[in-house]
Amino acid sequence: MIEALMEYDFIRFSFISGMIAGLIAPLIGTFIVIRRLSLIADALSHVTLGGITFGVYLSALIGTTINPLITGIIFSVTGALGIERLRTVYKHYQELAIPIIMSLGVALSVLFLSLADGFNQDLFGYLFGSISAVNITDLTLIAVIGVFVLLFIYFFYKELLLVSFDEEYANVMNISKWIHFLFIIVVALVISASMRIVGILLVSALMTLPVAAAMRVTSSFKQLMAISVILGEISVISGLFLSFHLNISPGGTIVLVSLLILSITIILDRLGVSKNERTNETIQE
Amino acid sequence: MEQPIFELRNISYTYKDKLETTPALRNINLKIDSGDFVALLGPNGSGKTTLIKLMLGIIKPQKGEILINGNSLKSFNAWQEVGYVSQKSGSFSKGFPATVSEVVLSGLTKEKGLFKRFNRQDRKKLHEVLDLLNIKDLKDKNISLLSGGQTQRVFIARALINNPAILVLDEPTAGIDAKHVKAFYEVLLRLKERNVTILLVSHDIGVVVDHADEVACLNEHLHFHGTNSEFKNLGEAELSKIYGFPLQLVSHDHERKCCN
Repeated sequence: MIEALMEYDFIRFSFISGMIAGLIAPLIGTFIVIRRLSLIADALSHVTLGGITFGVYLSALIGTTINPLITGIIFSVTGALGIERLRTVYKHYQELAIPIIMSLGVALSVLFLSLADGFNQDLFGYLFGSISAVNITDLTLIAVIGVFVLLFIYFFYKELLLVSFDEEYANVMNISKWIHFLFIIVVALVISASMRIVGILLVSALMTLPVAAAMRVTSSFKQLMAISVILGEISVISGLFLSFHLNISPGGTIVLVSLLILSITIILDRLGVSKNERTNETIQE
Repeated sequence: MEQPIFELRNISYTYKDKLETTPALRNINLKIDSGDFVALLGPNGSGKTTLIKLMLGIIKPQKGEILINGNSLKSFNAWQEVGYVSQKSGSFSKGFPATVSEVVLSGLTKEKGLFKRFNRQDRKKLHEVLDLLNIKDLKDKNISLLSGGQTQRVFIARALINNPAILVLDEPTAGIDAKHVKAFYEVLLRLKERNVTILLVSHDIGVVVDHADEVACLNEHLHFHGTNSEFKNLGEAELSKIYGFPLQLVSHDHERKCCN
């Protein structure tokens, strides 16, 4: 694969996009998981699929190629705003926003797929990831999103941590409303950036599985972020390597490696190689 | 004359859903002066937490006006001067992957402002407040591994790390043992010496009354607001009206306690 990396642009583009996705998806995933919003990524990825099918349909309709990644991002961000709005409408049942937006995404996907006259190979790549589909425009867009996400987390880390940990206190401090809004938009962007490699249907796995594994072995939030990113990158690199050699979609291999890592951390945790003094249940006074 | 730090004018609040309305507060008028230590007492469901949420701007009053330092609460933005420990602090942190230091430092978020990261000065404040609450040895521990009482002390530390001018505590000693309750009130008295305004909600009438300067009794209406000695002189009829069952304060040689 190293030879191919040197030789072929598309392999290099896929590898770099994969590395960016392996960094930003688990990073934003730590905040998603601890806010117990893991399913938001699923809902938004389905809305993104709606956007991609719309892009494919529009291209067929007007006869000009429109990058479906762009329409995917537009739908994803709109879906994100819809979730945030619905969360305020159903204050006591905020999780309702997720199935509502998810079903909208699936319905739109089916609609535009039917209008665009069914499935094509390109769409298969969006669904399950593709090692050959990333072009220089995609890579540039993914890199820009990557830099934006990193800056967002660097500059708003303390606000994000407070909102994730204690929303009521963040409300009292008058900092929660705008950060919710920005956060959900960033989640939508991360989904759009990661889907080229992992695929729409598996993108939420890259956001949650490395975090779920890291949670078994860390005690501080910064450690959680760092280990999630390391596990995310291991999953992406090994998944891409397997995908290249087995000639299968990278989404499946990346997620299977993530699941393998998760299983190992659960087994290690059970065997007692885990968080400090977990066996003591609570620290003695 | 100095402005009261909090002034509630004719505040009413009703919880509403499609089927019914539940009045929580009716026509509350209350003034709290700077440096006062006020205990807010009342039975469960009397509106204490609602009143605190209104004063902290978490919910908006449906009727009346709240002033803070003479200005409308709507225009107040110096929330870093307010420390707050909520009733449910001890319970919602379970499973959260953060250390005690990370949680306590998060209390400085508003004071630091946007784009700034925690520095050595902030870590110094962290060590001071952990020392004050006697939880220095827990600083690197995961919050989800702490006992209920330890968790509460962590949240009190988070509320104090700002050196707040106003401290609002909603049943902060629930689940804390007697030794640490005593230590907690010693901390409050030290804060009072620094002219911190304290509003404390508690069910522990005896202990609260012994430490607070003023007592406010709530049960939808504000039934009483006066000094602690005036409260101690309340008769059985007034207390029973507030609590809805026969209640009297009895005193003996060295302390007062509540019984029924």
